Amino acid sequence: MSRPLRRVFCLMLCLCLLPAAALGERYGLSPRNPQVLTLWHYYNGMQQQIFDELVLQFNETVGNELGIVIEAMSQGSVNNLSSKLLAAARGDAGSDPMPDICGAYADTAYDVDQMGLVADLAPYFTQEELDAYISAYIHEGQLDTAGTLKLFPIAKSTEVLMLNKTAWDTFAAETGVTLSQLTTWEGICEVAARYWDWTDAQTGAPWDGQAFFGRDAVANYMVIGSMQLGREIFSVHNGEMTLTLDRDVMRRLWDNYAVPFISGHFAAYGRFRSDDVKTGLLISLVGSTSGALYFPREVTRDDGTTYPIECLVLPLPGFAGTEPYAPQQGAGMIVRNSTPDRIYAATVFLKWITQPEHNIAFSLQSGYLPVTTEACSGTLLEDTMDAMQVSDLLRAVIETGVEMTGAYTLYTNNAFARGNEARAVLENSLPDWISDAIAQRDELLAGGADRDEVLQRLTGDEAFDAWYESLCLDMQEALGR
Amino acid sequence: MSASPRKTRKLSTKLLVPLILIAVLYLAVIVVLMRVSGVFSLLSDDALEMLDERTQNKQLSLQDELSGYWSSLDTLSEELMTAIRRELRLQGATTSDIAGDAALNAEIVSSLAPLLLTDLRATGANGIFLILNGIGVANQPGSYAGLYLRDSEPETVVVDNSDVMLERGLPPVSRSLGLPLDSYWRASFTFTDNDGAFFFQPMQAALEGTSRKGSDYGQWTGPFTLSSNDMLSIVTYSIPLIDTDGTVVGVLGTEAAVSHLSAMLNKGELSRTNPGCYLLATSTDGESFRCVASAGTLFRQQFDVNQDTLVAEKWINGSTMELTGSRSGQRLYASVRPLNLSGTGSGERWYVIGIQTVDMVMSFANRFSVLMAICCAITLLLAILIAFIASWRITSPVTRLIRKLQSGRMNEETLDTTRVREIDILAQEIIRQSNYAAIQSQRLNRVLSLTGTLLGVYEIRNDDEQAFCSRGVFQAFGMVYDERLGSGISRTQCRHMLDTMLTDEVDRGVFRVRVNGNVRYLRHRQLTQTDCTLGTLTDVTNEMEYRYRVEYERDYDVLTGLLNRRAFAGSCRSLFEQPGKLGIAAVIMMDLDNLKFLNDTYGHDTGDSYICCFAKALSAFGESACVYGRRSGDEFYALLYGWESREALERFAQEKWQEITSATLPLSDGTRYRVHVSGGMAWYPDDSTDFDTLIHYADYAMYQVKQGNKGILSSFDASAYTDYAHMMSGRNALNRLLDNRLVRYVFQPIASAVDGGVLGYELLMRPQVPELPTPGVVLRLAKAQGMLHHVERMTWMCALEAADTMNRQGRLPAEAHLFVNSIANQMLNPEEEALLTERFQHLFHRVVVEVTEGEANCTEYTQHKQAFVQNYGGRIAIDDFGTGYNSEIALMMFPCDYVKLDTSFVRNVDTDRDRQAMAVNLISYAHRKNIAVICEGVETADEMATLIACGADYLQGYYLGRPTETPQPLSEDIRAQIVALRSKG
Repeated sequence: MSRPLRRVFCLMLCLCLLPAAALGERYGLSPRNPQVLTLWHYYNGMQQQIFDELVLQFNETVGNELGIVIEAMSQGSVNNLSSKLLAAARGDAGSDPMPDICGAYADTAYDVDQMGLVADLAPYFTQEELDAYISAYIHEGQLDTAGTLKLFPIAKSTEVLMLNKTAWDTFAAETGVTLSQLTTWEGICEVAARYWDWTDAQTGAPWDGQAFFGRDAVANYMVIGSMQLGREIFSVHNGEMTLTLDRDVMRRLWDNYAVPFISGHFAAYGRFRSDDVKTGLLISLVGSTSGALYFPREVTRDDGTTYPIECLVLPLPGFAGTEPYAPQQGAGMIVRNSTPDRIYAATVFLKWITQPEHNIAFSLQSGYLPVTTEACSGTLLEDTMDAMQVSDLLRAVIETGVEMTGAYTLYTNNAFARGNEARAVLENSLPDWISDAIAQRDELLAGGADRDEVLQRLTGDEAFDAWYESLCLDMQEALGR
Repeated sequence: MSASPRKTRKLSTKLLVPLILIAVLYLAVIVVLMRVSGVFSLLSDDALEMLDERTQNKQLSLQDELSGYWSSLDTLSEELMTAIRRELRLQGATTSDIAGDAALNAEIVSSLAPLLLTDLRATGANGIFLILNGIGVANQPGSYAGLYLRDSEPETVVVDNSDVMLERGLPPVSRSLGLPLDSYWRASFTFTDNDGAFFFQPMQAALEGTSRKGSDYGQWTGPFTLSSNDMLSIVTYSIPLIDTDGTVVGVLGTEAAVSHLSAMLNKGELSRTNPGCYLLATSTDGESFRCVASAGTLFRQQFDVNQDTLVAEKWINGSTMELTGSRSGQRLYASVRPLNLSGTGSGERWYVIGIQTVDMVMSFANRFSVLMAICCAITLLLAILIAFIASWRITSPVTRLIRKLQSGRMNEETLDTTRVREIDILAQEIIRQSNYAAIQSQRLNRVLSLTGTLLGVYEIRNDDEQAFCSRGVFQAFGMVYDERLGSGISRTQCRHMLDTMLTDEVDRGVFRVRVNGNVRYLRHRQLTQTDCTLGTLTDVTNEMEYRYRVEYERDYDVLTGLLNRRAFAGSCRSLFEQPGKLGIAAVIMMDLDNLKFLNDTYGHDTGDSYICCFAKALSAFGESACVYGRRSGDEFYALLYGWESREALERFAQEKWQEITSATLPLSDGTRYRVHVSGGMAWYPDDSTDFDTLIHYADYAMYQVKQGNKGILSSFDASAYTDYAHMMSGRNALNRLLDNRLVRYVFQPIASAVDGGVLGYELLMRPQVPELPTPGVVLRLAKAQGMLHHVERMTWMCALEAADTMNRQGRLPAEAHLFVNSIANQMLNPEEEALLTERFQHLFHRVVVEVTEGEANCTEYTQHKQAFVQNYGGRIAIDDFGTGYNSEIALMMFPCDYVKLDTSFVRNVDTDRDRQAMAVNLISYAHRKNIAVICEGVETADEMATLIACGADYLQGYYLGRPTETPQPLSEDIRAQIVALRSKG
């Protein structure tokens, strides 16, 4: 064969191999034939708008370049998301196909992973890339199996104490309570009792004192509180969960939540405690930083009239004499164990959305905390906040949250089998019990019973014992033991 | 080959061009067919239709989805109105109270809230709202009571309603329904100028209109946001709530989030494989469109969502337009489908628009075109490739074959088969021919190798400026062979080179060339044809040198370096062919004297030196006009030529002779020996013009000198030579005669004078050599040469042999005598006698030995002969009787049987009385001695008659009978005469 001919052959061969080589690097992604990935999340309202905005931005930029299209869909709430995800994972009749990317708490992630449906993302990241993330978040994502990465952190939140400063100022001025009392549960109970008394005294009607405090996510209170008090409720080692429901610890949790609650010093009216603060029913709450968006600038009374308030963000209180612990929460993202190109495409999106600028943009508008050390430290956060002219409230929430990530031990229990159910027990056991107790109380009080007696009966040792027993039973049941 | 008008082309070209042409034609036909059939335009029409169809589908599905937003609102409004009326009744109020009683409104809204929540789910909308045309918060004018529920994901139904948020509504409603408050929740509706249209416009329309049916005033509004803080862009459909009395109580509406609409638009095919987009847009004129919601990234990439208005650039067909003004400048196709929605007010219509880039729409058509082009290209490439391979497969073995043929290393064993039968056969044939040629060539080479070394060949073609010259041609001329030049040399250069180098022709076609100081001989052979000249150059140096050496050795004497005999003769002969050049010339023959003496006395070396010394001295004659050489041992000769007068030349020759003879040779004893030489000289043209003759004459002259006065140079004497020559020639003739017995013997009858009967025959010698015509000459010469004995022996042998032959043939009469002439003083020796006896004894008794009278004196020989003959019964006759000075005495002394009277007595005896007397005396004397007389030489009848009368016994002569080859009897006539005479006498 003549020499030119041979050259033409070589050239053709090279041309054939070039795209193959390029495809190899990008896992077969092609802008002409993009991978369309579905994403389920639980963001609502403002957060959903912000998240959708980011997804759109991704689709228009990097996704457009590489051939990745993310179709994001909110599933309403975390619980709804979890149940839909599990249904999809199990392939229940009528369930949607399992999404490529899905927001999930560690427990849910664990359950789905047990079905072999969660992709290990570790191979798609370099160590350098992983090191950029706050190690606690990555650790949580390992689902108790070192070297893997099943749950990827997008945005995290913790809990802060938020206070209607306007109301507080009046109350404090008249009663002499101080903000420092709000650093412990015991202090809050005390202040709440004072506030009840103070408000009760403002009207002629008896027993019409108002609640000072309320909180969402009671499970967090239980888990973090128990941890603070030296007992890890869900202690997971090597995939085995050891349940510790220490009676004394439970008693202290009881004393500092159920007792004031039943006594009317704490309360929960609306769906979220921020709603209660908005409507003036409570003046302080412990809630997720991600709820900051819902914290009001004004209080609206039931008749619709309003008055403006100032808001104060304080670190999460703890039990007196214990180390500061705070929950590390916020669902991460799991990726369906599908083809490498889809997994790769998913990791491209996850990397993109956790890049500091995108991560901070999401955080600042949603109250979540960035997940990379770079985003949490240094001036980037401050600069971005300045640039975006975020509200004082949001700034306070973020600053407090970030401060806590340094000062507090951020804790979340490792995932374990039936963790969702176990957590649901912790979440609902005390509020349900309280709810019943309050119903009994009101009924008794309406029947003319002595308030102190009623309260004593409903909050006393027997009541505790009964609740404790029910908690243990529920827990056993939830864990399928 | 003669100049052809058609150029020759390579085999590969001949194969490739038609094959590729076929492929191109084939493709051209396909392309033309595709064009003519309109496949491409059909494809693009189809593509547009597909875009249109998809858009229509999207429009239908969206219409279907959105229908829930408004279709159920009429029913809902009825329910709500009923509930409102009931609540008003309960509260004891009327519709007119709504405007100012906030508490009443709160109650109404609160009672309607569960119903609205249920209906939110039923419509599948994002949100549902009820706004009463009345104050929402006491003492807050501009606030309107109402409820606004929003479900961000209507497709996701959560049992506990945790996904539904309260946007507007008093806190108790939130608590009673367990709905969370949204971030920008308000207890009541307040409107700014921008965001109240969805409430005011349908209400205003209802106030102005007469219809009691709310849907008649239904209106789509948006997109807008509920409040300045709220980021959620929404579209609403709202209808007025009209009481039976026509009072407009409020507005009921549903909400669709733009993102939700986008999601709805996005559901489907465009976004996945076809990066395009769908738009929900509004337009008043159907030409420019305002985007409400979009799906797919394309639109956001190409247009500013909030500002851009799409304007049709041109309509492709009834529903598809082409758009321009995109950011990238890409051409876009947009299929426009109106949404059939109730209540799109103020002349606005809603449209679903599917947009794709022209490239994408046409992608299949384009891809088809590209594919076709690629197919064509690949087909063409493949065809070319196949053509190449095919031609390669055919030409490469041929090329290999040619290379092999060119390299000359080809034979049948190394021949690769081309797998093309014709070519293989051709190759075999070529090989066969080439083998034959090789054999021929080998033969030729062998012949050539015998003849010399072929150095180089060249070819000059008349039709080619370049001449072919093999490397050997350059080497032959000692020129540097330029490798880059190769064999290429121009025609004129080649001719010039040959002309300048080949000038010195030393032999036919052999040229002497000087190469690097050495002489080289080249044989140049040239074959000139009409159109080309072929030439070979052969190195014949060795051959020529050998030839020259041989020629030298052939032509020159080894000892003296002078021309040898042959060369001298050659040189001289060539001169003799040019008489003009020769002029007056002399041939000098020289013979060294005393060479034998020197050889014997001083040895042969000295003899050789003597010869050399003389040879050197010969150079005195000079080189020009002189040729000299060594003839043999001590003989030399020279040719001096080119002179105009004999005298001058003779003078010159004598002068030089003096010089030559003054040369001396130093001898071993210290003395010097002078050259002694004798010379003879013959003159051209005086003596002869023939070279050999001149040599002969000069030789003779030299011998003359040597026999006489040695040491001088003498000229040829013609007269002296003549005698000498005669004698020399007679001697030769005699020798020849004797050696070859060139004699015949004839028989002459001797008849009785009484009765004419034949006594016998004389055997007469007849020499067969022209130089010796008669037996007398033979005898004289033999005598002079001392060869008489030989003659005697021959006579006996030959005569008796002739007689014997005749006798045996019966031609010799019985008892006829045989007269043999013996030479008197010669006698056969005993061996010869014995031989003679052995062969011819039977004839001896008939032999008569004739002895000459003069020789009778040698009695010893004669007596021996007599005894020998008589011993066998033979007789003796005395021949020539009467010529001697004492004939009678001899007769007395020598006993004999016959005397033969000499012819001198017989001649004229009839007329001469003296002779008659003498004859009578002699006859009578003989008769007295009992001796018979034979008369010889009888030539006339008178002589015969006289002699008979005188008493002769026998007669012999021409008259009686001439000598003849065979013995003849006398003629009857003669016998009759004799008888007559005798009887007379």
